[in-house]
Amino acid sequence: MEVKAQEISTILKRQIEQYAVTTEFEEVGEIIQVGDGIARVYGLENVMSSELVEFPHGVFGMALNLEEDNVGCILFGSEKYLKEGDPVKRTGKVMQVPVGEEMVGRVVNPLGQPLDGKGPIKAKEFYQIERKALGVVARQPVKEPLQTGIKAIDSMIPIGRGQRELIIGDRQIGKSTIAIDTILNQKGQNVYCIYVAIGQKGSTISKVVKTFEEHGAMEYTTVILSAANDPAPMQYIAPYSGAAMGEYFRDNGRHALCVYDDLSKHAWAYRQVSLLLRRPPGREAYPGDIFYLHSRLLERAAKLSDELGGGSLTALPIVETQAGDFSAYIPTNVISITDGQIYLEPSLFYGGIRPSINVGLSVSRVGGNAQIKAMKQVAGKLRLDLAQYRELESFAKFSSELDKATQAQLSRGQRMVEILKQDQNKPMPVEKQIAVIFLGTQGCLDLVPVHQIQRMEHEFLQYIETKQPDLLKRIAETKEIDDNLQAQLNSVCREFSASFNE
Amino acid sequence: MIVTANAKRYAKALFELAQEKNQVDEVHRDFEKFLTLVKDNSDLQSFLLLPLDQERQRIISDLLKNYFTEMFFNFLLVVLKNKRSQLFEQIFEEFEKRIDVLKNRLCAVAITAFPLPADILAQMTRDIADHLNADVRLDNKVDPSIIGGIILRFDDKMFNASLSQQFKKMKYHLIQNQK
Repeated sequence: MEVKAQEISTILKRQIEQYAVTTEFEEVGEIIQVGDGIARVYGLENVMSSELVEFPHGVFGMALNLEEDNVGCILFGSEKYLKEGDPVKRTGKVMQVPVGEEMVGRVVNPLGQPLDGKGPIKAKEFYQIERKALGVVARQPVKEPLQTGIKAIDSMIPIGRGQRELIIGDRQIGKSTIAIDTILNQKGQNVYCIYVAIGQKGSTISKVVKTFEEHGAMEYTTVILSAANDPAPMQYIAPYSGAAMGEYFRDNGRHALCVYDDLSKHAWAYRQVSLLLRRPPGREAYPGDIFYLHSRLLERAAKLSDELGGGSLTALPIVETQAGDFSAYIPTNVISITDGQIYLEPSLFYGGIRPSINVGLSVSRVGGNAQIKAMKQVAGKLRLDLAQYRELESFAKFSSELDKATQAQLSRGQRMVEILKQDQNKPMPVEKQIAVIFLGTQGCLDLVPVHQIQRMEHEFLQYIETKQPDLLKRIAETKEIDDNLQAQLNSVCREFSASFNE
Repeated sequence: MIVTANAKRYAKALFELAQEKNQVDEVHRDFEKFLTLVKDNSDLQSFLLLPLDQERQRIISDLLKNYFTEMFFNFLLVVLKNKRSQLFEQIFEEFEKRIDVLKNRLCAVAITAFPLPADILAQMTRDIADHLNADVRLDNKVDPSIIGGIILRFDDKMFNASLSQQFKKMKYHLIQNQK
């Protein structure tokens, strides 16, 4: 389409004509010192704690330290053009971010400004980033499942909507992958997802966004991005703005999932800001309120009572450990705050067991109530088999002569471990998970060589889908395995293993 | 000038004491006199920076005691004793501010692109005084970078009716309207 210059100038002319001249009194102070992402401001006598303040050149900041003769502010922009003596204006507002459906499918920075080049976000509502967590009366126990699509988690460490489940482990062993797969599995589940990347590499995040796009997950996902080169204050507020966006859905009776990837970098960013603001350092140089930093964030995850619409906000924080040290400061803090944790172990990862979840150490303190009955029925046996296997595993290394029963338990365990392996970005619907675990617990795999288990699982799912498609549908609908269904499943398993063994 | 928390405390103490004894004006006069004295006399200046011992305290007493009220002189010694002689100007500023509040006076600065003629300045002073119901002293500062209009500042408040600010707002307005 041809653009006429006339048109543009007319529009501009009209805009200039309509432009209303407004001036009002502003409260100003002046910069006395600026650098390292913080500024000290003289004046601003009436500024509120965590109020948004405006610096010249469109840079915003937040008043964090109110001292006797100056105000310590963190900056959400470049300090490059700021200098001593520059005026700082009060805005009278507390920091807030746009929320709502308009945010879905977007990649934004922690201030809610778009980074994806898809045009401005015309949000109708704004939420303060620091909101008070809900009280006891507004909540109810977790009761609906949040299916991660990962067999090992959904069967043994089930997560419920409104729960806070920590994913913890060393670097590069698939922590983010679990969170990403969980987001991919929310397709069609009416769960809005928010992925908060804190201090991550730009390349990693672009890969994550691409994965979401390829699997159609961007339709219900917001990505909040604070890259490693963003100022520490940006990284510090990122999870809070993510929580605010999730809370919008929660408070409107819908379900949201918020992934904080990862909170150890968040703690680092906060440590930097605190030290620069001259707050006294404590253990590992973290400030005294580092526990409260994470507890007030994770406390915002909740399952609302039915009177309030029954919405939920689930939190999946990620914490990175250094060389498997779970007893470091930040990991122990976050473990004590959350409703359970998923431990990932390098030895399992490099041993080819992926996802490398240590099911012995991982727990979910509230998710059990949320698990569907059918899964509970099959998972009980699975958990038992695996526990017995772990007990015998080390012991079996010493002697080659074992009695029949022990050998049977060992081989069952090996096959169960094999069945819990799962490829990246391939979440599995819960009814299929149930069918596969059922196959294992019924002993249909015991005669199959271990290296063929995964192929068998794959073929079994194809078999059941083509031969008995309504069986899976019935599990998904009734959510329970009654005697009739069990008999049918049993016969399918027998039929299939007979044909497979041939 | 930036007034540090320390200076504020000294000013508050001195002011409250002066108020109790009903000597605010005297102390203010003394303070002003003292500052001009120090300013014009570099020897005295460097002498005041030295730590206070018995010998020096005697010299200072001999030199200054007769010129000031007892209260102000004591204040002087306390400040010197605490090695805060560099704070005198800040304390004075804060002290004046407190007097302004007491007497409902207001110091305002009008920043303009060119010097204001005396009659307009006087008119403006009257207008502002009427509006704020205070005794206003208006200073004029020139800053060509604001292009036109006026910026009025007093205390922590700023009334920005400058052209540069209007342009800035218009720019923001136009960017906002982009599709």
